[in-house]
Amino acid sequence: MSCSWFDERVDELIAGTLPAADLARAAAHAAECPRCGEVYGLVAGASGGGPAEAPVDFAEGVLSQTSGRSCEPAHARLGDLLDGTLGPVDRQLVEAHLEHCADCAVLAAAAARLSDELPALAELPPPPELVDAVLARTHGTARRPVPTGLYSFPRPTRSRRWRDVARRLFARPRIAWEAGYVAALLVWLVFGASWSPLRATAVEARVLLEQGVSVARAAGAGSVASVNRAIAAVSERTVRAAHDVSGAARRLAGPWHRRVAAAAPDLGRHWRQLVQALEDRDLFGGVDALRSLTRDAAAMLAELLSPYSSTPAADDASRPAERSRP
Amino acid sequence: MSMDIDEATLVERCRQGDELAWEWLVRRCQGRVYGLAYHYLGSVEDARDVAQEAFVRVYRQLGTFEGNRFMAWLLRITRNLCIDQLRRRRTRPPVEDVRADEDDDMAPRDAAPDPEQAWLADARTRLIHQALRRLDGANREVILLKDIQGLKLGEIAGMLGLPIGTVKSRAHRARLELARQVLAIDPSYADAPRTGGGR
Repeated sequence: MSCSWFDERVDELIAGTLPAADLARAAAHAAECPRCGEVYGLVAGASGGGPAEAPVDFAEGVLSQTSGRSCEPAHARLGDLLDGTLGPVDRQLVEAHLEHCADCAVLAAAAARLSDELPALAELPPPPELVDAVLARTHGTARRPVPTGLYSFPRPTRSRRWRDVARRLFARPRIAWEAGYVAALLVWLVFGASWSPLRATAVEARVLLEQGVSVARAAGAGSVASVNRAIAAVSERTVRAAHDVSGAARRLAGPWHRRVAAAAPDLGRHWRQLVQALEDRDLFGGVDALRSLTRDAAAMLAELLSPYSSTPAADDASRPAERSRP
Repeated sequence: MSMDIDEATLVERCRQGDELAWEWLVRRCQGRVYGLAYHYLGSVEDARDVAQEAFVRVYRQLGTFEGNRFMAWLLRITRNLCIDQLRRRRTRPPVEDVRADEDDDMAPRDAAPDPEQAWLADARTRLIHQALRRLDGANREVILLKDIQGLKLGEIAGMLGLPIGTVKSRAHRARLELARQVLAIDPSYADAPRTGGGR
């Protein structure tokens, strides 16, 4: 009796057609040979009427050579399983995994227990003085009853909203730094940028300063002729600067031109009066022109700012109680 | 005789200036607000101050409240105040963290009448707090908001500025991580007798 003899008869053994004498010999060999005994045991179990019992770690062996352990996908669906939001198929799959994976079963049991116990931590006994402290701070500022229903809380007026925005803006701790930065940026944009229409004016202002210094030096030297020449030069520069400012203002005004023209129709004429007075060195004419220009500027500002301020009628409508006061 | 008044009715009464309704609301919600603040800040004093400030802020902003989830709104304001407080702390010298096993005063004081059950509940509460402190900030926050405070995923997503799907997956991961931490402290946690729970 040898293993090769046994191997030649395995097919008949499985098919159940092995003669009784050979079956007895095969059984005797299987009892002595572990290798053939394992095969004989499997075949005998299969022919015994029920399915052969797989080794305990059979599935783990297969999984380790194929997909690996499936704990991670089970964890990914464990949350939905605990929340009861997992579909029926996935639920069966996860539960089957938990039956065979002790680690995951313990983890799932702990997570389920946490789901039961965590809500109890939502409330903690507060300090006894909390309610009194809150009521002291809120009852002192009693709320005014408000009407109920749709739009029960009237929207604040536009000017009120602007004031609130400004208050919040200026209450910020870094507002000083930011304002300084923005101011520096504006100065550079208006006077320093290469494309700025007022850049020439800034250069002129610097020249004017230099001329002023030369006037002072000339006066100190006592030479009347040099003083007159310096004054004439300053006047010429001033007139040129005024023309530059006028041109720049017109360019900047661009889209606002019509509204400005409607608000201050004589603005141009008054400006020309001022320039002429400067050229003529007419002090009183210059003062009159400046006064007119001031009025024009006020009218112009009122016109430009009108979209951002509420009308008197709207303010009155929003404060009926105050309007009724004497 | 005590009767549970509808939350929407209470809020509406408060908006009309009924101070009794406001007092009722404060008393009813103080435990949740204080609990959330304590879990975020880990300090009794800070939690009390933030809880108080949250109520005052809610009182002043009652006129702007729209919707029917007052508690979610209140907890959202509390959470924002806690975040502000934590930011302010970073600018100050660090203080020593409260050790989790010193949190004996965290257990609810209205303990169950059965002494053994009360002891179990107290030990369990300490255990969960210890495990919570081992989580990172993101996991702990989502546990606080979803599993402890019971907020909806959409509400949490609004608070955190995250998609709902992200919040959901984070919540599931956080709960498993908390379970791992609890088991690391007490391997018999899953086998221990239950002490009850639920909101």
